[in-house]
Order: sequence, then C-alpha cells, then structure tokens
Amino acid sequence: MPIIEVNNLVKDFKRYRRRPGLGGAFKDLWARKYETVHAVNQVNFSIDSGEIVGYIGPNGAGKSTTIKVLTGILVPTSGQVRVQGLIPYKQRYQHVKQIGVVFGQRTQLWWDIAVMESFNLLQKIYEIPMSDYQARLEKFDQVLGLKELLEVPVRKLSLGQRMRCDLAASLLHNPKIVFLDEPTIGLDVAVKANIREFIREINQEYGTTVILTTHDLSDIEELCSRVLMIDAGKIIYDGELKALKDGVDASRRLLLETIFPVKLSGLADLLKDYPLDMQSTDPYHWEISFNRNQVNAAQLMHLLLSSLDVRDIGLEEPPIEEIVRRVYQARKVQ
Amino acid sequence: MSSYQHIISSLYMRRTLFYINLAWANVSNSLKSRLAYREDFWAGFIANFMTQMIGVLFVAALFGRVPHVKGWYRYEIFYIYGFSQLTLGLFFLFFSNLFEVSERYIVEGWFDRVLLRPLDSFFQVIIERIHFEEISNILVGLVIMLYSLHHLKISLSPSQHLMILGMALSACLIYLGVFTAAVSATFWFNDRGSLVSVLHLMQNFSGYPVTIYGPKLKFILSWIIPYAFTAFYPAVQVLRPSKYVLYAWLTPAIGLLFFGLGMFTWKQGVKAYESTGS
Repeated sequence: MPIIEVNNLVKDFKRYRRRPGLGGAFKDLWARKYETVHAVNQVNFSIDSGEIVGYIGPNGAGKSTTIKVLTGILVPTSGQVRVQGLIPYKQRYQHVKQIGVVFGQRTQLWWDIAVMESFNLLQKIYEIPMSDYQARLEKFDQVLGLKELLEVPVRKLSLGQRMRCDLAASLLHNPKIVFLDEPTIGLDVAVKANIREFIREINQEYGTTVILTTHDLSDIEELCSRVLMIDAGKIIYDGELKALKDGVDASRRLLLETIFPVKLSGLADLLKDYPLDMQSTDPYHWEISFNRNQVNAAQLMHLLLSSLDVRDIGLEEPPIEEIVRRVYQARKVQ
Repeated sequence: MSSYQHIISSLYMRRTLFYINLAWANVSNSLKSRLAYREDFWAGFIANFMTQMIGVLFVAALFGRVPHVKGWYRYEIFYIYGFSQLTLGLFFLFFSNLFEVSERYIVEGWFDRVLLRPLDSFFQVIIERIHFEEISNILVGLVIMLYSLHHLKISLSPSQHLMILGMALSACLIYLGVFTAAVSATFWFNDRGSLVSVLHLMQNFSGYPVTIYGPKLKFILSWIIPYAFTAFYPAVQVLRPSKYVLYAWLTPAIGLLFFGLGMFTWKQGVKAYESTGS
C-alpha cells in the first residue's frame, strides 16, 4: 500500500511575459501578456512506506513545486495527490501533523528566539507527549550534537548548525514522511556526512519515509535506492539508481597497480579473450576499460589477481553527475 | 444537551484553550526576545512615544487657537483624537504583523512555513509579533481622553467605561477586517501591499470629526472604509449622547461585518497562494 500517490498531477503558474527595456516595462503597466507555465505536467508516481527516494532535476524542472503540492502548500491545478489517504491542501491540519519538512534555503524555526524555545513551541503545537519529546531530543542530540546550540537564537546560527536544528525540528513529532528540499545545500563535507547519517538512522529506526531533493548527487548515491528524475515538469526516470547507471552508461574502468613491471604484450595476451582497452602511464599502473554488458568484472578481476602480483586493484563506475548530464543531454537532442 | 453536542463543545473548548496556551507562549517568547535587547527596546519605546507627542502637539496647535470648528469644541476634538489613538494603539499592539504579510510572507514566500503547521494560518501570522511599543500609544490616548473629559466636565459611569472598552475593541475589529482584506489582495496580485499603505495613510482621517470633511469623504469614511466608526461615532456617544446615537451602536455590528469580510478574503486568498514558484 503506497504512502504517497500522485496521479496526473498538473500545476500551472500564470506568469506575465515582461517586455524588454523601460518602454516595455511601461507597456506592461497597461497590458500584460500572460502565459501559462506548466511547472508540473502530468506527473505520476507512488512511493511506499519506508522508502528513501531521491528526487532530482535541474533548476526550474518542477522539483520544489511537486514538494509544495505534496506538503499542501500549493493547490494542484488538476490531478490527484494522496498522502496517507489524505488530500494535502484540503485536509491540511491532519496532513501536516504527519509530515516533516525541511527547506534548505529557509528555516522553519522562529528567527529571533533560542532553538530550545522553538522546539518547546513545536512540542506544544504538535502536542507531543513530554516523555516522547525528551527521548527524541536526547536521541537527535547524539547524532546531530544539538546541546551546544539550544540556547542560541536561530539567526545567530551558522548554516550547518541551523540545518541540524531544522532537521531535528522537522522530526520531533515523529512524522511518517519527511520531505527534505536541498538539505545539504551550502554545507561542508563533515556536516553533510553527519546529516546523511542522521537521515539513514531515522529511516531505519522509525521507518520514516524520506523524499529528498538535492543537487548534490552524492547524497542520492549514499542514501537512496530509488530515483525520480524530473525535467521540464515531466518525470523522465523512475526506478533504481543502479539500473539508471547501467542503462545509461555501462562503461567501467578497472585500475590496476602491480608489484613488478608488466609489459603491454604480456597483459594483452593474458586478456585476449575479453573485448577491452588497456592504457598505462608506467609499467606498474594500468587502466583497463570495458563495457559491463560484455565483460564480467568479477571474472576479469579474478583472472588478474591469480595471474599477476597485484598491489592494488579497483573498479570505477562513471560518476553519477556524468550519468545525469547524459540523460538530460539525450533529452535535449530529441 | 445531547452527548454528541457535549463532545463537540468540549472539543471546541479544548481547541480554544490550546490556542490560548500557544498565544501566551508566543507572547512571552516575543517579549523575552524583545527585552533581551534592552537599549533597542527603550529606544523603540521612546521613539514611539515621541511620534505620539508630535501628533498631539500638532492637534493642540491646530485646534488650540480656535474654540470650536464646525460646532465641535476644542476638547471634544481632543477626546475624539484620544479615542482614535487608543484604538490605533490596540490595533497595532496585536496586529502589526499584518503589515509584514504582503512583502515578507506572500511575495517572499515565508507563508510556506505557516501552511506547514497544523494551526490556523491567520492566527500564526498575527501571533508572530506583538508590538509592545504601542502601549505608549494606548496610554497617550487614554490620558488625552481623561484630560478632555475633565475639561468638558463629563464624568463617566462604570457602565460607560465598559461601553468605551467595547467600542474600542469593535473599532479594532474594523481595522482588523479592513487590513486583512487589503493584505489578502496580495495573494492574487502579488503586489507589495500598495493598497495597505493607502489605507494606512487614511487612518489619519479617523482622529477628527467626520463632519469637518466634505460630504463625499464623510460618506466614504462612514460606509465604505468605515474609519469614522473607529473613533468619531463611538466618541460622540459620550460627548453628545443625543447625536448619532444609532451610529455609535452600529460600531460593533460594523466591526463584526468587516472582521467577517476580512476572514473570508483571507481564506480565499490562502487558496490562491502561489508560494515563490518553483
């Protein structure tokens, strides 16, 4: 039974086309030319309870609009959206009690008051039982290290500190689903790692469903088993991250370092049954590229390990950025 | 009362208490953060007080030279002015965050956050800021009223005190309704609150007898943007009980009407909210 169901979702915005120059601006005062932008256009997907789904796409593709419809901020132009059986914008109170939301660009906390006061207000708003509340704060503190931040007003926090507090705040009421819109934007590596660990832990411990939008594809790689890809308001890929990688780019590179020098002819002879390319910078370092659909990487590695004195061996997949870039390029060409 | 009705009414009670509790938590938080910056708090308080005084001096200078204007005695005019300061003070004390709504919440998209909490959206916006400095406005208004009444040799019965309080609160509802409706327009037009600033400027008309304006303006201030009901008509009820008596008693009704209108436009506006696009 899916926890989120989206059927033929459309969200249009009316934008007026600005005419260029000052003269154009004056003309716009009297008569505006409106155009309808389909921010989200006939989108379908469903998400099961407990999934961590990565939602990716370029700027303006419709990611945030989808999230805003799912969270009940925006009213869809047409189509059906059900989250735990509720219509988000209609049954707003019931709906938002069950979800947590983090917008990386904008805090959900109260700007002028201390973090702890914000948390206390949330405890009142969501009517969280005191014992649960304290237990969760304690638990979140262990991963996110919140204690030293609790007395500080939100506006004095650094971006990373603020994000840790925002994440904790969004999960205090134990929501079934959490929407994270760019949770790692602008953060340094250590905080990113910390936040990913936290998301993983919440998902495992409480079974919280996570919908994550991000520009940092390493977030997706580390957290998500499933990817939704959107472009120009349409879903262009929905499936496993691995299948996406293999489907788009089956090329692999094997990096080999040997203890003794190896000759090209010797290596070519050893690997003569496999369709592959070999390159080397020196007789100790080799780079072997092949297509994973033609060559079984495990067999290849086994052969190399049993025939040569190997110091180091490693298999490289193409970086996900490269894959995503190719998907979008392929679409543009169409 | 049937048990069904009983459950409904106790749920309703519970919800009301819940909101009161939250409102209180917010007020105390907001006061705490305000007091944390002592200098800023006092500077704001003094600046506000001085703005008041300039207004008072202006009225005193203008009407102090003449014993009466269009049949209104100097101290009657002072009383009306004082009443208007009282209601403006009450309004801005609790509802000044309304003036942030167009720009900060709607155009810049802070309203997203409001819609993500399981609370009434209007309640959240209002409660976010209490403008404590306005207490000086209220005090100045009350002092002017007492001073004028003293000169007019009018003494008030306890029931009249209560009535004045009721009138002031009704007047507050009128302002609340008018500004809520104006602010809600931003949900559709995405302007930065131009209508709001016009209505804000027009509040200056509220402190004087409407009979000194031309008939057109008098009509507008009575029946379209009913600022005359925020000070003049209720004040006259004390000054000259025989005159405009019906008008004075219309004040609560007009307050409720405009409050309802404001809430209705707000509700419709929230549905049209477009956030900041994608």
